[in-house]
Amino acid sequence: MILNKLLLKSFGKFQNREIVLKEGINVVYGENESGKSTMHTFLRAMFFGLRRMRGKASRTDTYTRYKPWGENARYEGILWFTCGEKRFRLERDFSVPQSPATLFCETDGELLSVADGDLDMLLGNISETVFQNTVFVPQAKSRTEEGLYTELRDYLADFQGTGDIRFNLEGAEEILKGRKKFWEQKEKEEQQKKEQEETRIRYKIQHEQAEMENLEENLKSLEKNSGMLKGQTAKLERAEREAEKQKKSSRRFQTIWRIWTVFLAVIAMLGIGNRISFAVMAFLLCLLLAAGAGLWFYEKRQTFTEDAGREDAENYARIRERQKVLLESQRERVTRLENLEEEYRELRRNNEALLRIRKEIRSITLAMQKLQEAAKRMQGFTGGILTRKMSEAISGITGGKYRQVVLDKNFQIYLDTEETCLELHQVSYGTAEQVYLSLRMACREILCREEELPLVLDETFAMYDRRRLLETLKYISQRNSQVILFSCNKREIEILEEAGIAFHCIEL
Amino acid sequence: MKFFHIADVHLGAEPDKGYGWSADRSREIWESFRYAVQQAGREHAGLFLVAGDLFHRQPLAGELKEVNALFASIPDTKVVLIAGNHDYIKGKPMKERIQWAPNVFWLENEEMEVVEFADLGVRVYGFSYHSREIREPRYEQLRPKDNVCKNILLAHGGDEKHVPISRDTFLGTKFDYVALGHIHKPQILEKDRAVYAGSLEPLDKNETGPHGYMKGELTSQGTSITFVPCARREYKRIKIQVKEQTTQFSLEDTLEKAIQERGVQHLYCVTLEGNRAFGTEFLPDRLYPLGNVREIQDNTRLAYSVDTLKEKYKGSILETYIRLLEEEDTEEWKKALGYGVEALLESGEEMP
Repeated sequence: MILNKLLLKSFGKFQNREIVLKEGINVVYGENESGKSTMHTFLRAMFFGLRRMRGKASRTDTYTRYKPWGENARYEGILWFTCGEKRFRLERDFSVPQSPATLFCETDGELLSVADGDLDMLLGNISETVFQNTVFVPQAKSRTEEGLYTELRDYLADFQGTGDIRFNLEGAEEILKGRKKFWEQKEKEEQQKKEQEETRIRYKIQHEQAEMENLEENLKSLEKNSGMLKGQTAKLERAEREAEKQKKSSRRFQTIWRIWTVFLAVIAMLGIGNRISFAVMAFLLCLLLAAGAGLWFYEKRQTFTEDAGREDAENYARIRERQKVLLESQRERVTRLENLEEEYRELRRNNEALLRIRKEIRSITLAMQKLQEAAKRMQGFTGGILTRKMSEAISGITGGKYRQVVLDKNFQIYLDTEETCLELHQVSYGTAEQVYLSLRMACREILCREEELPLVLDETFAMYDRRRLLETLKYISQRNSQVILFSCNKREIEILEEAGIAFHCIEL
Repeated sequence: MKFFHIADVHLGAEPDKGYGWSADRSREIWESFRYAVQQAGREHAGLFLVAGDLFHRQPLAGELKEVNALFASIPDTKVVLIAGNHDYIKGKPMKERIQWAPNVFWLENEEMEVVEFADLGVRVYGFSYHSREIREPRYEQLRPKDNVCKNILLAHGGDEKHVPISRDTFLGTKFDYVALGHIHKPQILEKDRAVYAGSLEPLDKNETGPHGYMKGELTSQGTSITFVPCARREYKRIKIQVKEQTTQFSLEDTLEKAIQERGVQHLYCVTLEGNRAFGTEFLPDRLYPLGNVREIQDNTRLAYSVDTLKEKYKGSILETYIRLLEEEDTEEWKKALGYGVEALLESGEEMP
């Protein structure tokens, strides 16, 4: 990019002041308070606008500082520049909030959109911080700002190699985080599903166990009953056997008794026929009655004992039957319980789905780790590039006096004198300034690769001695298509003339 | 003499628990079993051999009754069974648990026993599991008593924890047939002589291909065996090649058609392969309802070649990242490589 013309229509103390710039070195010379810094600020403001501070700070901010006096004073400017063979006109009105700009391509006669990033594109997509810290050097500020380090670090982390994609480490990490979260959610769901299933089987197991206890209780009481009944039945059986024996002996007796009764009855009948005495008759009848009663009673008693015995035995058999059923059911329940326990164990062991999910999570975690590692490695690598580029610059600027700059991982700069490593506060102010300038040059090479921007220097060389100034001017004139150098003394002009370097002079 | 050989029926199993078809599968296992038994009856098979794991776990009384009733319905066929590692003999002996039909013969001893059927001219050898595992190679160089009649060995196992069996375990052992169980994939160890019938119905997503039983014939010329597929369903794998043009919708379409072509009753494990376009991510949750989909494995990658990327983005973090993850050649690292590369490419801004 080459700046062609500035028109400060109304900016600071300038009204309709036009300044023409050329390729190569432009020295803007003016005494103190002639408006060099205003011009310098104007350049930045044209590209990035002027942001207003809030509250108290707004009284002394840059915006207020360069706002022309007067109630309805205009506050605007125009900048013409060439970029890639095309001429552009950039107009900006600072009096309106956000200082809207109009970008017009004069070559194509086309109105471009600043809001859509057309201007950013022409600037090679660099941020204001990068601009401020590389190509645009304000007065006594060749030291770079903190912001540059952050940007540099971020940039170096996802340093671009070849290819058409600008990688975005943070964005990639964000995507991975999202993926991880997705799988972690799945893991949770799966875990819950599994736990539910496990609980279901556990309940079943508990139920079976409760039933088993019930069964055991039942069996125990049956056992008791059956024990009792068994005793009774045994007693009964004994009694029955006894009775059987008795019955056998008594059957004989019974038969005799029956015969005896019949005999008595026959005698009695015969007696009636033979008219035996009434007394004998009565005696015989009594005997007969007694015999009949005895027979009846005996038989009755026997049936009764038999019935009672049969009932107990039946009860016992029933209980035995029930016991058998319960034992069977107990065995069945044991099997079922064991099967359930087996199922439970299998379920606990079966982590197939969960393992698959965890594998994904592990892979994503690994990816995140390795991405970090790659970034660090890149940083080391590009840190190397930065060191190399800075060393090249410092070597050029100092005419080879210093050749090596060392950067630690916090971007602290050390100057390697080949004997010792010096921190910047240990070297002279002029040398430190040169180091910072070399840092800017190196950063510019790394950060502003898309578009070569003009180098703008505001009184940067005040602290340089003549020799240093000469070397530096030589270096930057060789390295830049356009340099705009603001100065309040003629030293730069003299030296450029002496060295025979062509330049364009603008006197304010 | 005709015989049937089944194995690993796993009555009572619930395959794919948690999936919609699981309960149906439990029922179908019973149905297939009934079919095989009835088929043996219809074809007047002399023997019906069950080479272990008829039950998935310890059988319940109801299950035994059911099985017994089925066997009783083919009284002219002798049923010979052994217990495998799943239904190993535990507690009361099988013979005492219920009143088995007269044509049912359990070889339930821990030691080898033999049952002889003079009418068929066949002896069946076998022993049952009495524990979950048997690590001794107990089938090594077993020999039948003599070759006066035909000799069949009913065996269960084959892996390291279940009576290891190798290719030459039954070589030259003079058995006319070794009816094997335990390995669920039907396979032939020795042609027409030592055969795994495979599970009657497939029980797990890895048991792809047809399943059924073995039908054989013992003649004086020797043994001949045929596999008879009868499983109601199969587990099938579908590989879908994704292209850069593939979208979620077109993918759903492809899968639906593929399932319809192969039969909607079957159970599918779907693998997505190939290259998908940037910004495309396939949602598995929408693929599951398209059929009996058991599993979806998404192996698709963004359309790129790692080597091209390394070359194209030389000196960038992408190249460094790829190189870092090429250090180990495991699945985890490969996956991580994909994740990182995709994240970097996705989040990167294209430069003009």
